[in-house]
Amino acid sequence: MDLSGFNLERLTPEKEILPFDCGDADLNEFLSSDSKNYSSQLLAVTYLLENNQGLIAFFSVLNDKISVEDVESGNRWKKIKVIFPKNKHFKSYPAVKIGRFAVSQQYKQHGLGTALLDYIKFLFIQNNRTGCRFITVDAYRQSLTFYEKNGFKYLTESDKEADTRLMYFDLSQITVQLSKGSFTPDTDNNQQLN
Amino acid sequence: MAKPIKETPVLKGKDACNFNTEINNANRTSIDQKEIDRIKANFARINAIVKR
Repeated sequence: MDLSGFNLERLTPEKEILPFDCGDADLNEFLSSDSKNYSSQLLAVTYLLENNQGLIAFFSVLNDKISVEDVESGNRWKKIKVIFPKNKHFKSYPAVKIGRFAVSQQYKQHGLGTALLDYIKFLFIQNNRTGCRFITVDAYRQSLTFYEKNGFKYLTESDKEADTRLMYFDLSQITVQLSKGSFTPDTDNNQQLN
Repeated sequence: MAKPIKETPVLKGKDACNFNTEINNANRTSIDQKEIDRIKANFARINAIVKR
């Protein structure tokens, strides 16, 4: 899809949010009523994809981490359990969560969702100022297939019946493949999302 | 007010085992070059329209 005439812009307090309909009332409501509150409280940042016809898509991102209870067995683990018998032990991995992500009904099935998702994936490899191993997402049920097709996996079985499901994408799948070529992260390129 | 963004829980038990297995296999399940090329191309397309 040709993106001439489109721009991707960070939502600011002054920015007017144009009418938007992705077909899901709750996602529309998040954008119109909650996205600026998340920004003002420094909880999430929302980006808007627009063209001269209006608002085409948005996504909101926030810092996250995946913590895993240490199920390691062996002498080292036994020694730790003796020292801290009542404490749980975790491994944590830095992540970025896509809190909300939607494309307007008019522009669905044009590849825009995948293009934006690819952008987010590579953004946190290409010039990330801190570590980020995973992209997580709080996915609405109607979008689960979309995320599956884009390589996301389910984080837990405990939300099988919930309105949204947590999923993750391991960015090392990309870096492993890139390392077979001559890829080095572009640390000089500042021409990216601010 | 819309549904709040769900927090990521600490993975335990079977969820923790499944997750560890998946990430330990990341080397073997890396995505193919065609997909890498698509991701890079889409990144370049979107990055070109970022409003500074």
